Amino acid sequence: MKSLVGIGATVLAGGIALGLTGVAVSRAQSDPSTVTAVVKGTAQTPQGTVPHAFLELQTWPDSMAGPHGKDGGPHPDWVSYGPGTHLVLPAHSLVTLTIQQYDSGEEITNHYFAKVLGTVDGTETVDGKVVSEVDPTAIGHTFTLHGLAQDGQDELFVNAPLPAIPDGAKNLANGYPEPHVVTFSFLTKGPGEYVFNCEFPCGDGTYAKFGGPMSTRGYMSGTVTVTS
Amino acid sequence: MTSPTPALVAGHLDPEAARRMNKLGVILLIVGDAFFTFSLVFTYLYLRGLNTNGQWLTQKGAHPVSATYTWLVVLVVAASWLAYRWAERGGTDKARIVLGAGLASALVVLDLGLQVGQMVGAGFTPRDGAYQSAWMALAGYHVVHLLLTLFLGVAIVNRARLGRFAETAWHVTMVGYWWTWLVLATVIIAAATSLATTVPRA
Amino acid sequence: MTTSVTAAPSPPVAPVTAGGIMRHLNVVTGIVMGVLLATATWWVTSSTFPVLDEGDHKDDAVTILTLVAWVIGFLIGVGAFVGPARWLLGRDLTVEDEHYLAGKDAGVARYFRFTTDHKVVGMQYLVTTMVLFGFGGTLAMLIRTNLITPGSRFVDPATYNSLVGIHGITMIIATIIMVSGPFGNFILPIMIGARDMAFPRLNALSFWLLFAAVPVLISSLFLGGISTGWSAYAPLSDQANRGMDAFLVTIVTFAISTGVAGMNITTTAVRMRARGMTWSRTPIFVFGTVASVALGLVAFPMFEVAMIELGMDRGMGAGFYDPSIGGSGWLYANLFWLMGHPEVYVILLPAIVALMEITPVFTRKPLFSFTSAILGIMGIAGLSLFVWAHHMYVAGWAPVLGGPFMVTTELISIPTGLLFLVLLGTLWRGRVWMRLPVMAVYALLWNFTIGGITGIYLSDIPVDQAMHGSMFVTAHFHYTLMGAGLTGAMGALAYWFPKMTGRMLHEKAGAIGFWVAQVGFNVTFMGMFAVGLAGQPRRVADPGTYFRVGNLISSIGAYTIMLGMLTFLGAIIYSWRAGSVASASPWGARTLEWQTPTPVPLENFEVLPVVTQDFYGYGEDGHRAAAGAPAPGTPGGPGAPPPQGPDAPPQRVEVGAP
Repeated sequence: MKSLVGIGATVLAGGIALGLTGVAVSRAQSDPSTVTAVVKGTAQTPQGTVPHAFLELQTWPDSMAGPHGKDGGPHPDWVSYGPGTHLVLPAHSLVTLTIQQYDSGEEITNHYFAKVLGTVDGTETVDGKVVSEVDPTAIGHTFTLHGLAQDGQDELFVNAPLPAIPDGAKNLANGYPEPHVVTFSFLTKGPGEYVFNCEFPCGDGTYAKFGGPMSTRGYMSGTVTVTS
Repeated sequence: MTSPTPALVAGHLDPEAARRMNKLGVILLIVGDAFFTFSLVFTYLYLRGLNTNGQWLTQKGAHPVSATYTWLVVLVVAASWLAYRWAERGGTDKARIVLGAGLASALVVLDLGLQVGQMVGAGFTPRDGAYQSAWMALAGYHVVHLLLTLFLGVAIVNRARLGRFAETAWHVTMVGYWWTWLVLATVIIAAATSLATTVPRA
Repeated sequence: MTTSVTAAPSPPVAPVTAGGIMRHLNVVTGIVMGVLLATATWWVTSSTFPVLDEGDHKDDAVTILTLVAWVIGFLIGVGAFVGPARWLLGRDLTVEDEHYLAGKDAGVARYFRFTTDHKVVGMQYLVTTMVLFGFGGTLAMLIRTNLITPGSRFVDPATYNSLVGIHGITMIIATIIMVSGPFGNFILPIMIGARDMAFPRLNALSFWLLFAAVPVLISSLFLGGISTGWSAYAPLSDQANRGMDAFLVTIVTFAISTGVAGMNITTTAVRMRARGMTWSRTPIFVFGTVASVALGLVAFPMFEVAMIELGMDRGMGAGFYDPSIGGSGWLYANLFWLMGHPEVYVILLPAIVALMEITPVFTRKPLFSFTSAILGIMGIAGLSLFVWAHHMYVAGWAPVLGGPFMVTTELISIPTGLLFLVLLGTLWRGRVWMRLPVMAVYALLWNFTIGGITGIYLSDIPVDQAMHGSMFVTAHFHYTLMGAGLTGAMGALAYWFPKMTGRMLHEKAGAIGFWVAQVGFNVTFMGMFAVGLAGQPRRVADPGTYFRVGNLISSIGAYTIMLGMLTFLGAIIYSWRAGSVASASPWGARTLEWQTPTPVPLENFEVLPVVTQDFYGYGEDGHRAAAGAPAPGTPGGPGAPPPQGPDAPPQRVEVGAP
């Protein structure tokens, strides 16, 4: 009997320890703040009338204004999307995304991503001007949403190049230059989980600038949840 | 095979049994260290042979270190080994051990200076490329070898000075094994880095 | 079988000053010194190191040096350098000092300081191994919890990959030490008739190096994790966050520990065997353990170099693995797998030979074809150094060598098969005394057959091209490392538990735990074979709905393993505290460790034994001779009376009766 109690207590203690560890790990993960698109009315599209959702993002040359905590978190000098990198979009909707682009840049490695792809009409507006591509030698970042049709979810692919702020541009009172404002719209399909990232190598200098913020979730990459 | 130990604890065996045991231990440690050294040499030769993206010593201003200097480093180590061997062959002659091992240790210090000097004056850092990284790793490991040898050499001098070798004269021999390996390792490293600098022809 | 020839002198009474400064050093002073030195290093390096123009090299350099400082500080604080310092100063240890260091009359405190007695080190390894398995197992459960259902999001993908990486390296370290650590230290010296290891202080050093490495490994969790998986492939590992710095410091520390232990165990086995213990009379456990640690001695320096180069890349911006300045990921892959495949046998050999030691005892038959066992061990150890590139078939490295490496890999199944035959031949027609230790033999034969045969599949280039990077590979190596390795270690623990703790392992609870874990293991990894064949990749947090059923089955199996392992652990803890008291030789085994009293005295033997025949002479002609083997407890026989009490199983004194 004594042995049963002892051994049972070990099993119970082990189970409790595992449960507590699981809860702690599950809660302790870095959870980039979520940005949810707000539906404001409807829009006419070739697919008919659908809800029209709006969302705003920024691309910052550092992590001070992003979701990384006080003083920019562990890597204050890393470039970052903001205000969050987990985007929640409604399914079967027109999503209009506006991005204020504050960062400088240079030539993009793969010119393909200097084209606007997957948006309504294949265009975006840059500071109010409609374009279908931007100068590949002066790219700041891109917003590139990848999603293959798998696991029962629809394919979703959007690429919006964000032009660079010229070197030497004057800073405003907030410490950043006047941003480029890029706006584009795309149609979501069914619910699914996707990832987005920047295709301009803007990270750590190691490995052709694909390190650091380019390879760490929550900086120049994030997730998109399309909800029903 | 016989068990030679009547003693209570392994550390206090009869000198001959202890010598045999320590000899094997030292040889095995040298084997482990040899695989470490060979891995570093392999790194150097492999990256040279691979010449990824044509980057072996092709950056602007890139140059190999002086082969003459490298062999000077070897020469001083070899001289220290000769001095140590001279001391070792003197058996339990206290004065000879103190003198020989002392001279050998002084030469190791000189070699340390030379090696560090070569690294500082190489004109590059590991960030400059694969050659620079691989060479620095080999030179750095030689410094580690020298520091360890210096510890052993100074210990032998001190122990001889204190007359600690009545029953443990074999300590001098054990350190001698290491010293011999030090020379061999230095020669291997020098041969690799001085004879195989530029990229081999395809 | 043995006669006494040499009486040990009476141990002198240790003066109160014996041990010198070591009297004041222990694990607490080690931790304090480690933390102090690490803090000072962090402060100095943070404030003086330049920020290089590219990358986060300063952060990495500071982290690496801080963690190295912890290890060095800890070793200083625990007294690891007192011996070399005294040697340098010519103040050699006296016999009284050595007795003090060996933990004479020190009670429980000896487990918490730089104690040189091999039995203390063995127990320290045993507890550390169990802690590591607990930690790694917890991570495994979190991984399986995440995979219970597609899209569970129990943990995010980055955390998931870190869990996989830390689980992997924790389990690799734990399985490397699980037999050669506890039993190679506690049992092997006694088994060969020695009073201690050849180099007792180095023995303690190898353990405390491991101890110092454990917090470094755990710190990786708080430094961003190890998102690359345990193989830490470059250039991914060059770019990974600071958890990788903790990883590489752990590996370098552990490799030094293993190298020192390998040298020590090999020297002990070669030079300190009892008088009359010729190689043909040396127990098979000694051969296997020595082959394993000797293999580690040559294999681990290569991993160490790979990690030091990684550290230079990360901390100094060097270019070993950076193709943009002439480095190559292939360099890393070669160095890693030059260690990585021998390491598999470093893990397996001691576990298998432990079971070879157990099988004759419980079948009361000689070990079948001792020579084949030796040849198998030598063949595996030799060939294992020439198979590494089968891990790189699809890496693009030297495709022309694929064929030769396929051949060497498939060849290694021959010596492995020999070891199978030895175990099977020893069991063949034996009247098996079915106790917990020998149960592990059956489990190993089942698991290792599956693990081995799937290994042959994977060694085949066309199959590997399809299966590499899939869960099929994961299932395969779990069948070898866990199904064979850990199973063997559990058998070894059950077998030597009475000698090490002085108490019998609770047979019923132990067996229930063991078999529940075995069933759970097969469910888990059969499920994993299935999803792997269907194409599920490794290290993917949310592999998709297509693999839902297989993953659910695997996760149910994993929870079953947990239940079994916790029951087994419960049996260990209970038995250690309150199990029935064991006699000196409860199994009636003939090797020397069972000829000493339990608990084993400090000097192991009152008089050093002389060996006059081999240890497997239970009967030279198998079945018939088994009948004549003395039952445990027979007066004048090899064993003392078996345990009595409520937990003691019924005795099979009629074993082998015609």
